[in-house]
Amino acid sequence: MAKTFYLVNPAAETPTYFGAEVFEHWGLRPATNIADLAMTTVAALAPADWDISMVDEHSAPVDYDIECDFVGITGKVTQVPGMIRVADEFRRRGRTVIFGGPFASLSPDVVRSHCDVLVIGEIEGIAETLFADLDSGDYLSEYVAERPDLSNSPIPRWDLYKNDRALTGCIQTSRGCPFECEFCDVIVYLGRKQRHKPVENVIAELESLYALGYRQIFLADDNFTAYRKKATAILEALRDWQLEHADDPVGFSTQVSIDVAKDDKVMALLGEAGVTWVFIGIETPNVESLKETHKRQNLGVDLVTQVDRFFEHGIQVTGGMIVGFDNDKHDIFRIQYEFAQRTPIPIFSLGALVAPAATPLHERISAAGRLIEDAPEVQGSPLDTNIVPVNMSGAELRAGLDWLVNKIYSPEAFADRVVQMIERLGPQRGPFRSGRITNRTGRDIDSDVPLMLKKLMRTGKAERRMWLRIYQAMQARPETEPMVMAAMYGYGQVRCVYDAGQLWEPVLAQQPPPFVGAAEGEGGEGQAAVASAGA
Amino acid sequence: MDNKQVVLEVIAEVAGRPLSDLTPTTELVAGLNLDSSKALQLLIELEERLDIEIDDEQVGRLKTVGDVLAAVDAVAA
Repeated sequence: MAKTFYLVNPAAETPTYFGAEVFEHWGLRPATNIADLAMTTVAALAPADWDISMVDEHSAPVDYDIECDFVGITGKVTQVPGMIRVADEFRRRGRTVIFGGPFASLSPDVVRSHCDVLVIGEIEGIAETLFADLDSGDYLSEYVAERPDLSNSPIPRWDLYKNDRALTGCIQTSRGCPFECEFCDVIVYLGRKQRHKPVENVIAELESLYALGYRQIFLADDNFTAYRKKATAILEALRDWQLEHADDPVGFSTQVSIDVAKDDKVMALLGEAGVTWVFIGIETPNVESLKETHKRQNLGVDLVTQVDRFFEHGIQVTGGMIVGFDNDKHDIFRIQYEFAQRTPIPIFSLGALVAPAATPLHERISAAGRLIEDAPEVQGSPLDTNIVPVNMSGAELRAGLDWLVNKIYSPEAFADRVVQMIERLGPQRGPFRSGRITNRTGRDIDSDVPLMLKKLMRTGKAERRMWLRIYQAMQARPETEPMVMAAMYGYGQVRCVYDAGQLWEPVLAQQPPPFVGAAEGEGGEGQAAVASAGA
Repeated sequence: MDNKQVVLEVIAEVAGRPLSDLTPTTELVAGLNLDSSKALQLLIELEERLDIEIDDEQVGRLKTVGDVLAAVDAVAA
C-alpha cells in the first residue's frame, strides 16, 4: 500500500533578514519570502504513488492531526528550535519522523535523538534506497549520502506548495562554492567543487514556477557566478527565454561574489537575463579582517567601486556586513557606518561574526578557548555571537552593534542610500528596459507589500519623511520604482527583525559612534588598511 | 472641502492626471497606472489628509476610483 508522507519546513524561531515575517508582524496573513526548495525537491524524489502533502510553517500552521506514515522535517540553523518542536510533537503522537537538510547534516548530534531516521547530506544520492526502505518498513536509523551529480535532479513539486503566500520562487542551478571563507558552513555541507544542473533543467524549473504565477525568482546558488562559463550558459538561456516572454518577464535575484564586477561580459549578461538583485558578502571594509577570514575575493579591489558596477548595470545589491573579526577594533562601528553610507546599498544583513559548527572558524575559535559554549552558533538575534572577541569585550561588541544597526537603519540614513540608488542605477538592459515590472497574475501577496509599508509609515514622522523623500526622488526616475519598492520591502523586514529582537532604539542613531577616542582608534584615522580606500 | 473632493484631488495628484480624467469606474491600475509606490503614496496621503485609517480588507478590494470613495466613506461615516 502506498505510503503517506507529510513534509514540514518549520518556521525560524525569530525573524531573519531574508524572511517575510513582516506581514504577520503588521497583522496581515503570514507569508514567506523565498519558496522552500527543500520540501519540494524531496517530494519530487519520493515514489510516484506516495501521497505527499507539505506545509511551510512560515505561511501556514502545521497539521499535527494529519494521518501519515512519515513526517519529513528540513531546516537550516535558524530553524533548529522549530525542527525539534515539530518533531517532538509528531513523535509524541506516534509518527515516524525523518530529519534531513542543512542543519541535520552539519550537526547530526544535536538532532539525532529527536528523530527516527536521520539523513545526512544531499538526499538525491540515496533517495532511491531511502524510499525503498521506507516503503518496505525495513529502514535504517541513519543514511549518509554522497554529493550527487545534479544532472538528474527532478523538477521540484511546486504543485504541492502554498505558492500564493510566497513572494519569490526558487531555482537552484548549482551547489557548492570554490571560495573558502572561514565562517561559511555551505562549503562544509555542499563542498568547494561546484556542481551544476543542465541548462534545460533550469529552464524546465523556470517554466514550472512561471505557470504558477511567480514573476520574481531567486536563483538559490551559493555563488551563481563562481564558474563564469556555466553562469554564462545559464544567463544566455535565461536571456533568450525572457525574449519569448517579453510581455510578462521574470525578475531574477541571486548570490554572487564581488569579483564578478570585473567581468564586463557576465555583468552585461546578468542585466540582459533580467537579474535585478544580487546578494554579495561584502562583510567588511577592513582589509586585515578580510585576510583573517580568507575572503580573498574581496581583497585588492575598491569595494565601493565594485559595488557601483552592479548599480551601473541596473542591478540592486544587498550586502552582507559582519563585525567582530579578530582584527576589528573599537573604531570598526564608525568605519562600517561610513562605508555603508558611501554606497547605494539599501539593505545590509548586518550582524556579529559567529562560528557555525563544522566550520574552520569554529575549530580555530574553539582551539583558542574563545568559543562561548551553549551560545547560538547562528544568531537568534543578528547581534548574538558564540565568539569571545579579541580587541574589545563582548559587552562592547554588543554596544557597538546596537549603535550600528540603529544608525544604518535610521530613516535618514536609509533614505540617503536609497536616494543614492535612485540616482546611480543605470539603465536596464534586459526585459525591464522600459522600467515596467508587472504583476499580471495579481497574486495577493504582491498587493500586500504596499499595505505592509503603509503600516510602517504610520509608526512615526521620521518614517513618513523618509518615504516622502524617496518617493519624490523616484518621480525624477520612475523606472527605478520596482527597485525602490524591493528596498522598501527589505526595510520593512529589517524593522520587523529589530522589533522582534528588541533592538530598535532610534535614540542611539542620534548619538556619536561609541568608543570614540578609544586607544587604538583615537577617533581619527582608525584602522590603517581599509579596502574601500583602495587597498 | 468634502471628503469626496479630497479623495479625487489626491488620486489626481498621485496619478498625475487632471480631475476630469476621473470617474467612479476609472480603474486605478489599468486606467491610471497606479503602481505599488503610487498605491502606497495614495493610501498615506488619504489617511493623513482625512485623518482616517483605511481597513486592510478594504485596501485589497480597491480597484476603481469609486472603490476608493466608498472605502473612505465607510471609514469616515
